[in-house]
Amino acid sequence: MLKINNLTKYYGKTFKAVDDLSLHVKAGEIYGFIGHNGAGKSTTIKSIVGAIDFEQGDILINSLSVKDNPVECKKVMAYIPDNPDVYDYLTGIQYINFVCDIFRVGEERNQRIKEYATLFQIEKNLGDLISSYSHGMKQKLVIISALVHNPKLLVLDEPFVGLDPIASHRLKELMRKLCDDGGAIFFSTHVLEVAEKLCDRVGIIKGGKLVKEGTMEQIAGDKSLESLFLEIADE
Amino acid sequence: MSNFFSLVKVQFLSYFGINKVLHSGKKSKTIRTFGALLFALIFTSAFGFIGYVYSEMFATSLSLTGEIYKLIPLMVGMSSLVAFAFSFYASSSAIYGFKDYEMISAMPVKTHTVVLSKVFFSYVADLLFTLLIIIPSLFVYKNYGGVIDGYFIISTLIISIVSPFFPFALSTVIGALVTFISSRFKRKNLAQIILLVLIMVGFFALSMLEDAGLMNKAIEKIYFIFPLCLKAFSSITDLVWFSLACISSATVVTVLTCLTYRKMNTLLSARKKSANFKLKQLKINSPTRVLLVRELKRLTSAPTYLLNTVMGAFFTIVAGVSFIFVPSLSLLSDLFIRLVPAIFGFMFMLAPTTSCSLSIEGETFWIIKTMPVSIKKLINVKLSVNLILGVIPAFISSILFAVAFNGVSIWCSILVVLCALSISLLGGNLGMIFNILLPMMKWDNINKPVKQGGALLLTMLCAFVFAGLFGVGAIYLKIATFWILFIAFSFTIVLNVVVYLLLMTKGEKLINQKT
Repeated sequence: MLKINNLTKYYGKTFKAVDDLSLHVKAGEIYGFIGHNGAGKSTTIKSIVGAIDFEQGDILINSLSVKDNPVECKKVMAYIPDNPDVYDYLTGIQYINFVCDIFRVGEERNQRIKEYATLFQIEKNLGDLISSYSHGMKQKLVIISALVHNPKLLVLDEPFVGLDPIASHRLKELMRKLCDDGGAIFFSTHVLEVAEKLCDRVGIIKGGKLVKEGTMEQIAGDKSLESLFLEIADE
Repeated sequence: MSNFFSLVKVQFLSYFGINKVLHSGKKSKTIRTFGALLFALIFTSAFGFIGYVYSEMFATSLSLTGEIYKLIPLMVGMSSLVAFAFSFYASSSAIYGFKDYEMISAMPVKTHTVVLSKVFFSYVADLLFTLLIIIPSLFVYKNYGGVIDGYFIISTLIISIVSPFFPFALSTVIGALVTFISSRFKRKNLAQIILLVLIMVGFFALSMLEDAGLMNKAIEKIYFIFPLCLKAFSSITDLVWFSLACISSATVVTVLTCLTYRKMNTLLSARKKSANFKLKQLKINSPTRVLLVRELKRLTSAPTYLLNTVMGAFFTIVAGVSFIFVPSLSLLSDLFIRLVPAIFGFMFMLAPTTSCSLSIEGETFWIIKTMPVSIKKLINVKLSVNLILGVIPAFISSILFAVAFNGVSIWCSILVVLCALSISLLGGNLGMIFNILLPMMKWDNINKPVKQGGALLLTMLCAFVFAGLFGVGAIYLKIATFWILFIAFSFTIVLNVVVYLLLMTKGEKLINQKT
């Protein structure tokens, strides 16, 4: 589903934010991407979703290169950023409808929007301007707009920040369901307990390099993910 | 007092991006500083030139009746009008609704100190406008034989310093009222836009009256603003009263602002929520249409963006309509038609919507970048906005110009329309390519990408160069009007094709690199 081959990204001429990173996320898999602040998680994610350019390597989504076929790749994926900066001058429903039009979602959008809006408890607020939303509400809106077009690959950057416990729980359920239906998820998080419980595989990035990768048993064994993470951080 | 200076310093560093330049250490920032200084120089020169032109117009009329001594008081009144327009335009964002309000209100700083630090900037801006208009008019005054003695110098200096207090006070009061009233509605920005447009149209229409009789009426109307101003130039007592009136108006308004500051900011930060939405059947649209609607909605959601980019086109239509009602102008048909490329070049290339349409995406650009939307399509949509808001008004105003100045041949009239279309298209294309080359994606205040971007500077430079070249050519080249228009049209058409091809072939790569 998602293949990253030798990804290298520079900021400026000398700073390597991501260094020769390679990983593979299969269909049906939730891949957790964890690392310290400034490790290169967001850079990797933004390179996958086409938000930033990268110098070396390639990223393939369903065997299509993000560089050569950006539009085709983006048709099958959705991105939820860590900071939900969206169009304050639109109402919630206008924003979701805008996303649906871009992704050419048909009449089924009505049912999906109703379903997700009810699930995340913001149906009544969809008629209000986004400028009136709290951070959590904006996050929910972005989640709904990401799910409404049934993406095959969901890329999330710290999706649980700002979400209330009910919304967090529902998002986890939806993530599992998406993968059970044949999709894949690649997400970064600082909440290691979530990564332990939710992820099929985990990758730990440090200083732009992937230092550990595998299932929880493979990388942590009997230890907790937190202990492993702290060990790696101290190395 | 130290808190006041601390706040002023922080705002100053932030507003002009000076801190970024001082601490970045990058060569490109030095170039940007130079660019910003050049922009400031061009802006002040342009404004000073406009002040000079208006002074000449008024001086011509006043000298006919031997009343040249009224010129400076008149220009003081006019500078107050201009300062009022710009203060009003910026008053709500300059004083209320700052992003730092919550942070500063939690600090041990008195409210009046915060208000004074913000009021200070409004006054300085008004003072700048006043000086840019009055200083050139002093030269005109001297040229027309005006008497300059010691009292004249002192009174001019004092009046120049105190007169900006009045437009500041008036604009703050009206701005606060509009802010207060519109905060109760969903479409607050639209209300601001409508009011601003009405004020600016009224001012512009007044200033376009060339007939001597009508000019006198305009002069009288401007005097209504400052009845004491004329007397202040000849009597110390009236000078003192004038100064007291201006200063006390500003003082009263500042005190009222201090008293209502917290309440106003609370009102502004409270967003209207109805929370009673019921989902109905949604309409399906094409991606191109929704992208265009998104662009247009963004334009109308920000008065700064709309007014900055659309006013040139709007005023050209107003000018066209005004010219039709001034029959004496038909005697100057040939000259005006020769000047069409220069006029349209200035009005439509100065600040097209595209010169900041990429920058204004800001932190929300990730939405488009992560969607299955080709960047080429995005560029074409942004150019389409310029088509709607630039090219169509250009077409309308060129028809009006052709009707008003009907003393030329049919071919010239046709070329007037073609020139207008081609020039406004060029403005859009140039604005787009410059914004792609010099995007400003990180900003905390919408004024920054709209008024301070490098792309805007380049576009303005092109407008000045184009208008200057074709203006000088129109006046001094001894060739037929037809050929002036033909050259302008041919030149702009070729440039349009080149720039558009560049956008379609290199635009996507450049946007991916630069953003």
